[in-house]
Amino acid sequence: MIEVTDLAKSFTVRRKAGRIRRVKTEIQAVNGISMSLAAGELVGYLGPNGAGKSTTIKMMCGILAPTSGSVRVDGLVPLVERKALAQRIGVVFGQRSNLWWDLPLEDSFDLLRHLYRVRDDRYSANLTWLSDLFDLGPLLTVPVRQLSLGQRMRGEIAGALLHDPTVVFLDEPTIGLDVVSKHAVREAVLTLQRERGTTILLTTHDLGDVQRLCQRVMIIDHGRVISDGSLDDLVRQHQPLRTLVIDLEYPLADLDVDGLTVQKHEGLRYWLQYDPVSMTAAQAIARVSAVAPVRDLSLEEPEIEDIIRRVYGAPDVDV
Amino acid sequence: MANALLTALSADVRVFRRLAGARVRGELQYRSSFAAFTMAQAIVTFLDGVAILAFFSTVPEIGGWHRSEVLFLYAMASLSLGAADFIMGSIEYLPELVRAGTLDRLLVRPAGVLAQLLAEEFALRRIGRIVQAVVVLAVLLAATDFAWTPARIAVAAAGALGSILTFCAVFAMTSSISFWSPNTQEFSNAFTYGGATLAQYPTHIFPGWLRVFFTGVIPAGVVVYFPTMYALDAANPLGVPAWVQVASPLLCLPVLGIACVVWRLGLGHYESTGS
Repeated sequence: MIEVTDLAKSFTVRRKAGRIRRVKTEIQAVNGISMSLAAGELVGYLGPNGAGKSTTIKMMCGILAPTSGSVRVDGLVPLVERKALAQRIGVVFGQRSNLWWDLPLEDSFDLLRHLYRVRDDRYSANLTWLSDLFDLGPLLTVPVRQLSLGQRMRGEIAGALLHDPTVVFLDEPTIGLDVVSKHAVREAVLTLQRERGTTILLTTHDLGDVQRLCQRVMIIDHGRVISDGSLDDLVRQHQPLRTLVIDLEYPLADLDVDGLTVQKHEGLRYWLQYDPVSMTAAQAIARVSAVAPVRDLSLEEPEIEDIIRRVYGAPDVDV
Repeated sequence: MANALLTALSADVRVFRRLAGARVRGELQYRSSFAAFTMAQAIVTFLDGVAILAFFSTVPEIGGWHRSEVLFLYAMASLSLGAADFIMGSIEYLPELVRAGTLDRLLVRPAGVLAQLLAEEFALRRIGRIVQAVVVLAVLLAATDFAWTPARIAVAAAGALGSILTFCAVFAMTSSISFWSPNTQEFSNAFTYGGATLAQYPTHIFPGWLRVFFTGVIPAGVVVYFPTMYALDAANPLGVPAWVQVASPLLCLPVLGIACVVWRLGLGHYESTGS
């Protein structure tokens, strides 16, 4: 559905160097990205700020011309067949609005319907479906500028789906939303993929989005793909060990469990690591219980944030 | 080819009407500000006319043109700029859209970018200049005995149409500069509104270099001037052949062509901004 080969984009930036002199600097925003998305895939497209995520998406939508390489979305070359492609894709930029500020939401939808020439029966079916999915019923008559950010974002996404797009680009759709709105957006995105088989490329800094939504995760940095695969693989690859946290009934002089290593302990609390390939969680718990007076225990979830930070390579990049 | 062009154009017109309609409904919710702007625009243009009247209170003619002839030219120029401003005026927001990267939202829709841009900031209140020009023309035609013939009427009408299109092209061309360098709206205004001020006077009263500029570079002046000269049979100190006077409205075509090319190049140069 999306085929990208050796895509590159460079910008020329002029900087002051002395009174009149300007120095031209070439900035490689995207530097040889290739990817292939099958129909119906929901892919998380991650990377630190300035990694080239938005630039890639803009080239896929026909907003920007690639410096080199090729892009095909649903068989079309975006820049050349911009209008035809626009008819088949839905785009939401989380930090921009695609609605009409002064008009009620339903009027914005009506304008989009005419812009995209949506057939009457499709429009009314989609409007019912989307109003329900995003819980927009009471908001339809409210001018867009009076909507809260969460309400507006639900409206933005609904607006981008009125014309039955086959591919949807969501660029930070949950940015700045509260937990309730985030949840609503995530569930709607999942429904969209499951019920309509829409291909979705999602960029986000919210790892909750990634965990809930993305079967496949693609990480880019400095304009290059540095990781591409399932979330499980990513976790296995970068955080091979699991952590079991136990609280003891009374202190022990020494805790030694076969197959588990003590990572650290504070008073009665111990952090034990084990390899999930060689034993199950149940086995690990059984072994600990056999040798130690366990009062309470918990398994630590793999910290996606830690993993991604490790993939980005720098200790303190903004995830 | 021509067919495809017509299809695209009619699609653009459809989009423009739909979006501009929504815009006007919003605009009319603020009736007092609408009225104030329309009045202000009409008054500014009217004052230009008063300046011309004041001028003729001391001299009988400018370069062989009488008061009624200069007033007619002035009304034609106002009408052309007014109509072009009415259609193209919202292109003044282009630099803002380019700077903020918000042109993106127009580019991801299946419609022409220019049609959407013009419609989204369309303002009915820009009609003030047109209304004022039409009033002046009406008064002038009622009060003066120009020797009208069908040919003269046709040339005057063609002149009005040609100069509207020329001004539209100048709007598009000069605003396109913002694709390369965003802070250039004043530069653009110098050509459009500045050009219109010059077009209100008979071109031959200006020094040669300015005449060349407003003929060869920005033909806004002559596209009103020549047809008016023909239509009113006014003095022709430069000795311009009659066929040039009649054919001059056609000058809008190459200008429109160049404007299209510049616009397309500019759009290709658009680089958006970070998210």
